[in-house]
Amino acid sequence: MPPKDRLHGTLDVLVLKTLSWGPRHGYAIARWLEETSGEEISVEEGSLYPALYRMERRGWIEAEWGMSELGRKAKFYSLTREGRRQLQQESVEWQRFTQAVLRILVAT
Amino acid sequence: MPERERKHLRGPVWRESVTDEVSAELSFHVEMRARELAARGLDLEEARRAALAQFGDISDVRAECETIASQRDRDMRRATYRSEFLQDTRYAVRQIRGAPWFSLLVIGTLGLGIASATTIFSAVHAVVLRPHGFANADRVHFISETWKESAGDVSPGTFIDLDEQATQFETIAAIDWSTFVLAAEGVPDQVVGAAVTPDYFQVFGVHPVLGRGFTTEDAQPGAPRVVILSHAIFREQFGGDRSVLGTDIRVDGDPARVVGVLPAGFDPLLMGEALWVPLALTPEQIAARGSHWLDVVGLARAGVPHATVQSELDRLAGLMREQHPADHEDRGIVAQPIREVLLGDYDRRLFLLLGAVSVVLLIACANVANLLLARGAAREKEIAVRAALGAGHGRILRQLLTENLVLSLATVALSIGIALVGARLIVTFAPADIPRIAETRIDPVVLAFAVIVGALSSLVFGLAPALRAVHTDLQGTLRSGGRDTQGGTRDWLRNSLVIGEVALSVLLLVGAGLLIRTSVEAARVDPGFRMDGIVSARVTLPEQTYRDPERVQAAFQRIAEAAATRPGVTHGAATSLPPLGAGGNEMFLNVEGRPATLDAAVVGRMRIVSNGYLEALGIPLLRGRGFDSRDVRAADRVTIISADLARRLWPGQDPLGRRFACCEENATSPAWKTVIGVAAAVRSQSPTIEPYPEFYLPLAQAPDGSWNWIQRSMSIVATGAQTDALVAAIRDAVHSVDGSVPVYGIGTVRDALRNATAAARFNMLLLSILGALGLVLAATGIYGVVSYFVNLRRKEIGVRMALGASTRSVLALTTRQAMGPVVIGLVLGALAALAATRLLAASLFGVTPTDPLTFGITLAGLLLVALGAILLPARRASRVDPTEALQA
Repeated sequence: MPPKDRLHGTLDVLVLKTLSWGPRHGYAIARWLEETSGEEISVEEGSLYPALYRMERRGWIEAEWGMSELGRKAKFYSLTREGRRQLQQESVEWQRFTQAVLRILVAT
Repeated sequence: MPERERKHLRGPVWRESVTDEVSAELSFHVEMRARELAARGLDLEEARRAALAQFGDISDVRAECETIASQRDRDMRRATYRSEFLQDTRYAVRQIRGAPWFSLLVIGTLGLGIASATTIFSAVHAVVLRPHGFANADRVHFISETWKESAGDVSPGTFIDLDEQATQFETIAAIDWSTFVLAAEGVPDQVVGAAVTPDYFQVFGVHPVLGRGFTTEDAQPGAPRVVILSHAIFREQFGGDRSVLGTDIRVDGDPARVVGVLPAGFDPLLMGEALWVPLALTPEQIAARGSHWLDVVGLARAGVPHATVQSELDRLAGLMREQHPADHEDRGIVAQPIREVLLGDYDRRLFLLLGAVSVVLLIACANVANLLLARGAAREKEIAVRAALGAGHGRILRQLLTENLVLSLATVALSIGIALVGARLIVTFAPADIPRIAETRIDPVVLAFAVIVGALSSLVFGLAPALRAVHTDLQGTLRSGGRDTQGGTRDWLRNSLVIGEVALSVLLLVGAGLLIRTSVEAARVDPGFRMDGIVSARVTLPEQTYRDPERVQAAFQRIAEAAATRPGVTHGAATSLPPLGAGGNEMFLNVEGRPATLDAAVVGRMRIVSNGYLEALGIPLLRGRGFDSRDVRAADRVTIISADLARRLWPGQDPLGRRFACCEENATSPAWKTVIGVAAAVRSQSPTIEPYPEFYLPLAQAPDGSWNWIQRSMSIVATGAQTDALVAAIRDAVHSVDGSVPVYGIGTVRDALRNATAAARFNMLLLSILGALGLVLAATGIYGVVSYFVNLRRKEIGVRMALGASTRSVLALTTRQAMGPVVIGLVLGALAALAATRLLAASLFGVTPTDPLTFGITLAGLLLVALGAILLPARRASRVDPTEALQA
């Protein structure tokens, strides 16, 4: 089990990745994560929101109120330039990390 | 992160509260999930419950999100504020650079005002206000014995009684000042020192940094000789080497063991002592209650008021009068707080300067106020336009505040620079006799105070017009073309500022003028003796080798003769009091044939001189003869008296051949001195001090006891063309008699005169600088105000000229209107000066505090300057082209 901050970081990088295809609201992010990960990664839905607020404060994402598919007002998040840079950096680090773990696990 | 900044500049996306934002977002999520579940077949209620459960602890999440969101909003506000502040600062700098003369004027005026106030106040602080370099400065008293009204030294008997009986003092100590010959490495050096009773250091609460203080045993007659060194002499003479402790050094030729070194800067009575030895009072000295030669200091008990101390001393003095009626008749004891004794009237002089400085600061503030008011009025239109374009009042005020802050910052930087330089100048040019002025440092508190005063005045007067501008009816302001719509009230304010500035300048300049006249008068006075081509040096014969009065007298006689016969020397002589020196040696003279009581006695200052003294100093002998070879020790005692003393002793009679007794007699066998000559009165202390009744005694007949009072020291004077030759001649003369005796205090009489008047000249210089500063500031202030009015009235003047007014009449009108407040200011200033210059009276010489010439010149001068400051812009008014002015 990766440590908690790694988990935090994991959620962050996943959200950033989700937003890299375009703005969406919190619920849509949660849905997309569920579907794409094939239920392998179960994110406790509630923990998504503090992560969103934290990233907004850091300036990685920004929020704007808009209309949802069902005609309801919803807060849409989108990536900032800084968020994009963060995503890149995090992805590289993740690859390095997983490869390192993998190398150890497959070593005979 | 430009993207983020741009977003922040747009302002927060969500203007509702953070609570609403979070709860709207979270409930949207839950609802969407519930709908999804419902679509899969759950009934609505069930779907909602399941959605909530899936979400987790919603109240926890809500709290966390709210916290982060409010932090986010705070960050944003800060970023907004920062970027607006940067924007304002950039705008302010642009404004300041856009009006360089205006800005320079404001910065320069206020900077000079703040700097001069700070510098002078720091000097005052160093001298007067800062705590002294010892503990309990407010409890230390200087104790004197009085006779009738005059205070003097204390007799050993009185000191012992006080030490035993005074209960209001924690400690008291006696001091006998003296000079010592200190031989460290080869060259003997003459230093000031004191014999003190063992408790001396306790009075000032000071402990040696090395070794110990004096013990009671040290002060027993016959105890081994010990000495305590000042830190300065420890450093200079002994290289700060602590191994000197416990070794013997030669003091007045005899070995004395160094037992202690005091902390640096310990100089409580400003005598600059280099060493201290224990004072042992012999039973004979204690019994001689009639001889007064001790200085006494006492540390009053904590919390005891001065009045209580004094009333106890009065009681003890009463007891002494009963017990020793002969010696204590008419005598009392007074205690004076040490500060009063040491600072004398320096505090008065410096507070006077402080007053002058405050006046300059006030003028500077008034000036800046005027400038800012004028500028504020000119910018009303700009401000109105910005308000019309949607800038909030708060935002505009903040922007103007920033502008003021930038201006103030520049002012502060400049004033700190000037103040630091000013403090240097004061330390460099201040006369040496003002205690502790060399310790002048720019005081941060004082600087902060002056800066706050200056910044506040610029803030108030800078923001006042802005405040009014943002609140006035925009349409009106724009339509009126930005003209002053409340002209009446603000004309009044501006005129009052001019009146104030002019009045304050009068005050300053009259003060400076009186001091300048004083200095001119003082330089013109003939002190009555030779000032040029004369050198004086001091010699003290050590007690060890010169215990016998006859030996002392013979040695000085030989030195004086040797000095007179050296090549390059016209006259050489010796005198007990140097020409131009502090007073002292005041004696009671009892005239023959009158009752020999102190009541009937006349006071005169005694000078013991060698035969050629009057000739050397060029003091005319009005009657009779000078001292010559007839006046030897064995012959009848003779004296020469000054014309003043002659008048006082025998008014309207011929003094020659008459006799008085003094200086050495006892009641039964007075040593009569016959007057053989009358010398012209001279201003022997300073040209500005009236001649004092004096008498001269021939060196050959010097009273034996006098050598102890004057501590076997005399000044050797020599006249001639070349200073160097004279100095060498005196040294040679002294060393031809005794090679081990140091010569000190060498200098020309002209230099001594310069030193005697240095404090007065320093005062005059400072006040003149302040006066000039005030004048310049007032002139620029008047110029600024008149220019402002003229610009304001261009249109009106244009109309007048179009209607046929002549250039001259416009000039006259403008001038007349502008001169009104100037004249009122002159009158008020003159009245204030009449009242205030009395404070200067003690520093004046040769002029009265209400000197009409000084007042006249000051007022006329200021009037002319004001007229000039008015005419410049007024001429511009008279050249207004009517068509152009009307079209504008």
